[in-house]
This record gives sequence, structure tokens and C-alpha cells, in this order.
Amino acid sequence: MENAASRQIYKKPFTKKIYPYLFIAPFALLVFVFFILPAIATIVMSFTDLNASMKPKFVGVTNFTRIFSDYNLPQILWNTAIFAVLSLAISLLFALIISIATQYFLKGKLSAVLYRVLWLIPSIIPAVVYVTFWKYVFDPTEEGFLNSLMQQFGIVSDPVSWFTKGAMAIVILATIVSTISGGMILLSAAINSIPEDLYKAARVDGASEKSVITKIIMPTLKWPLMYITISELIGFVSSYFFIMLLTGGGPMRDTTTLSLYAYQQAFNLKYYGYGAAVSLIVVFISFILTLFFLRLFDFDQMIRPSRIED
Amino acid sequence: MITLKNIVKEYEGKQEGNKAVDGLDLEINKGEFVALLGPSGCGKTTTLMMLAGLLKPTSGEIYFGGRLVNHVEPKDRNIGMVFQSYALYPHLSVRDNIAFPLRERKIPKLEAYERAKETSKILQIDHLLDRKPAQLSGGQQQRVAMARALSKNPEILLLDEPMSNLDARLKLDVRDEIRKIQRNLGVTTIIVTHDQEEALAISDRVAILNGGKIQQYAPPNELFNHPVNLFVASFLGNPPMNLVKGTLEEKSGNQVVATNGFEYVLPEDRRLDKTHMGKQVLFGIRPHDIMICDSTDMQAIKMKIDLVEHLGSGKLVKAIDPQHKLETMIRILTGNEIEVNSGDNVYIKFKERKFHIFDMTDNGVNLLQYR
Repeated sequence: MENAASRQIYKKPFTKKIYPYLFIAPFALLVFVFFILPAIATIVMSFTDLNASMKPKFVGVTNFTRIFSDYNLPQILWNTAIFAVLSLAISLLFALIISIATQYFLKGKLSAVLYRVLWLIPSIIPAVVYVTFWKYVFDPTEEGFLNSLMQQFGIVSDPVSWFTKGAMAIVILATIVSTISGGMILLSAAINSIPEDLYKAARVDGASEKSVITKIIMPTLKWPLMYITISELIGFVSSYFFIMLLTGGGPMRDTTTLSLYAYQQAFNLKYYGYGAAVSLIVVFISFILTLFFLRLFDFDQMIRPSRIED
Repeated sequence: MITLKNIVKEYEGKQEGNKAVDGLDLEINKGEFVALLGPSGCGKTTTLMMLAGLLKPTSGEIYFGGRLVNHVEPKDRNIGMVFQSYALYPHLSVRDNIAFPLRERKIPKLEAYERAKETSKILQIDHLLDRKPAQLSGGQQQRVAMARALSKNPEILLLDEPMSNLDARLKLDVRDEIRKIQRNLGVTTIIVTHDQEEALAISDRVAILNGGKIQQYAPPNELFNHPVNLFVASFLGNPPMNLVKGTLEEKSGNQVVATNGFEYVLPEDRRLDKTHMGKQVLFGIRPHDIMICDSTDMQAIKMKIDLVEHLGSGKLVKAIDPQHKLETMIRILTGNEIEVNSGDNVYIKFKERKFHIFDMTDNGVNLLQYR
């Protein structure tokens, strides 16, 4: 039965309306203070000649034109590319191999779990401790772990100066060992979500291991792989922490990447304006790469609704 | 022909003596449609998995037409299988799903696709070949799963609860269709189900399992009319069989089942061996074998109607003993033409020779099973 009361439109009280904003507010504030403000500051700074004297002057796009005439740029870009591409490729490959091995071939075995836990260790120990470990391993003196080991077995007579030739390799090694676990966790979880019945069906259908991996497991990993690729790539392009602690960008500029260069310009040489401009270039590169991989993995398809008809 | 001999399956980690399948013998003829029916945990799915080769029996032998297959891999058993979840490969199109078993046998792509198309026509899904499983309805997915199982022309088709994810109406259609396809192809088919109606409707023979053992293996009507024991009798039938506690007695030359509420005189040709006299038994009669009658009828029992449920095609009448001596309620299935209301006093009688007597001293064996 219809009456006046039931036809009346329900009005949300004001307090109910503000609740959502009230809940969001603290985090919005944090995001604003720690993400948006610094971003704006960086952009503003990149158009000034702010330096140690702290008397900034607007200089237009001078900083940017200076980057492209910087004689260090080709080597730094090359270092960045080598570092990011190799780190990404190797850590993805290992994460994939470990996940498939432990979640498919050794599924449910205790050894598989222990093995994955082992890989998690590098990512949970503090970076400084972790880097010290690698410095000890590749120490150029006789005290170094690798040198003393090789001398003991008589492979070399004089200690090898590892960082002179192989600095980039060491940097990449240290980086991937600590990043593999992140991808591994996501991929393992994705493989674990594949219903057991699919494997059973594949066995009944006589599928080879290769078919199981290429037709059942790999397609499931498409989206996690996309996420890992993009997030790790951005991480590699913009990270300088390990490199700074391990080699400081040296020897010479052999391991200086774009983001480390930005850091050095800003905080070692106090060219804040120029550093800000270089870091904006890093952001721009990351943005372009993200768009590229979203396209490559056909991200549109994931957010498109599926079609079900009876 | 498929032969299972004394199959035992124990799962690792389970306590000793806790067997999923416990000494199971089964023979399935070529081209036969057999259902494994039972409550959950009865071992029916385990048995199917052993037939598929996805599980290995702890002991016992499985023969496919004389060939011992205990250690033969699933792919070498020439079986097709439909899973309860359908287990379609989510990232392959319907066409690739159906062709998958063929492609894995190194059949060239074009030929595999051609055969996939033929199979899909049998199941009337040839218009869906380019879709992905997620773009199909449940019924369509079920057909794709059937097509994939049949595309390699298997000798044996294994169906693991294939219809439990379909709605009631669709189930009836799919059931008929599976039966029709099975007849046309002549493929030996084993279906696992917990739905008795489905099992009885679709199969040539039904094996009723409980506790890892086969209780009875017979054609549907025999199972229904001649259950060998109390489990089969009470498991089958909806509404379930009425079971009344009683004692077998000899009274003035007649054998009777004496219960608290009534005494039922066994007909001459249903007389039991004298050794059974004095035993505790359950007297069983199905709801549709009870009639509402006049007080003058032979062996009429006075009852009071407690509840009448309308089932559409008839009425389910629940009657109690007016003197409350009989603990059990009696369910009676009647036609709509019978006018009864709750609170009425009526007389009921049992249709002749439709009753069962289960020996409670011997695991509920049906004392009349061999008649």
C-alpha cells in the first residue's frame, strides 16, 4: 500500500554525507604533504638555479637544455638502460623459474616452501647490512671472501680487484638477488590459484609439461607479470640506493645511473635546481615505459567486461 | 569390459583402517552406462580417480578389457573425463579446448580443428568455437567439457558430478542429452553422482557405495524394488521409505511383524525361515505403497493425519498413531483425488508384497531380498 510517508524521498543527514571525507582526510593530508607538495616543489625547483647559496632565481628551461648538452649524459643513459634492462630480465626470469619449480613441480612439498623462504632473506635484511655483505664478498684485498676463497684453492695468486672491471655486474647481482623474492611471491600466488582440476584435466588429455606451462600456467601469469615488470622497472630506473652504497657510481662514472646522477647533483654538489630537472627526466622515462608496457600487455583487455550470453 | 578386483585405497596420513575405498569389486560391460552413487565420503570419486589413473590403488587390480592398467598413465588409458568444475582451460578458446587432447597427441592443427568442429556439432556448440570459457554460460561450459572429453574418441567416458553445477531444469535436458550421445557413440560411461534421481534415470546399472564398499550393484528398478540392505533401502527414494521397529513372531500359525502400533501378518508366499523368529527387525514400506482405505479392509491400521503436504503431482500425508504407541511417523504418498485433512482419523493399508524386512541383528540385511 502506498502512502505519503513511503513516497517521501529519503534524505541523507549531513553527518552521513561527510563521513567518507572524514575518513579519507588524514590520508589525503599525508598524501598531499609527502607526495604532492614535494612533486610540485621539484617541478618548480627544476626551473630555478637553486644551489647551496639558497637564493633561487628563475632560469626557465636552462636546466633542461643543460642536461642534453651534459657530456656525461650518453654514458649515464647507457648505464641506466643496462642496469634496468638486465636487472629486470634476470630477476623476472628467476622469479618465474623459482615460482614454477616450487609451485608446480614441487607443489606442497616442504622443501619448496623452505626454498622460497630462503629467497626472501635478502629482501628482509636492512639494505646497509646487505650491501656490506656484498662489499665483503667482492672486497679487492686478500681479506675479501671471494679472493681468499680463490687464493685458498690456488685459482689466483694475487687478489682480484672486482669492482674495477665488474662494478656494474656486481651492482646488478646485488640488486636482483634482493628483488627476485617480490616477483616470486606474486607469481607463486598466481600459480597457486590455478585449480587442481586443470592439472588433472591436462593429465587426462595427455598434456606435456611444456603444454601445461605454456597453455595453463603462463597465461595465468600475464597480469602479475605485467605488474611486476612495470613496478620493478620503475624501481630500477629510479633507484640509486644500492648503487650509491656499493660503488658510489664509480669507478669513474661506470655505474652512475640517471637517478644516482640526480642525487649526486642535488645533494653532493648542491645543484638542487639541476638535480630536480634530472629527476624529472627520470619520472618522464618511467612514465613512458609504464605506458609502453601497459600497451604491450594489452591492459585494456583486462578491464574490459567479459561477455556472457545464454 | 572394465573389471575392478578387490580395490583398496588408503590416503597417506590417514589412520590405519580408514580406507576411502575398501575391497571394491565392480564389472562394467562394454558400452554400458554405470553410475557410482552414494553419500559424500563414500569413495565414489576416489574410485573414479583410480579409473582415470589420477590416483593409484593401494592394492587390488584394475583391468580395461583384460589389460592390467594399475600403473598406466591417464593419457594412455584412452579415457575422456568431465570434471565437476568442468576444468576448461580458461585462456584457450572453445575450439582450442576441444582440440587440446588431439593437439597433445601430435595430430596436425587443421585435422584437430576439423575433429573439434565435428564434436562440437554433436553437442550443438559449434557456434561458440571462438569464445573463451569465461564468455559461456554454465550449460555451455558443461557441453564444452563434454566435447573435450569426447573429441579423442575415448573408449571410456568418466563423468565426475557433471551436472551438479547446473540448475534443476537444465539438468533434465543435459541428462537426456548425455544419455543420447552415450547411446549413439556406444562409449562405456561411468558417472559419479550424489543425486539418486540422476543416477537412476540415466544409468543401465547403479552401484551404491557406502563406507568404501559397494552395497548393491544392479539396474535401477531392482535397486528400488529389491534393496539388499537397510542402507540401500533408506538411501534411495524420496520421500524415504517408512521404517518401523518390530519383532518377528509366530502367532497362531502365521508369521507376523509385531510393532508397537500394529501387527502385520506376512502373506503365505513371503514366509521367512523359522530361524529368524524372535529377531529385532525394521519393517520397511515405501510411501507410495501405502493406501488410505476403509476400516473394514484386511489389516487396516487406524492412524491420525498430522500434516498434509501438497507436492503438485500428489500429496504427502504424514500420519501418526492416535494412541502414540508407534514412535514413528508414517509417510504416505497419495493422489490428489484423495481428500484428507490434518486431524482426520483414517485407515491405511500396505500394498501386498511391497514391504521389506531388515534384520537388525545382521547389519540390516533384507530378509526378503531373494524373492
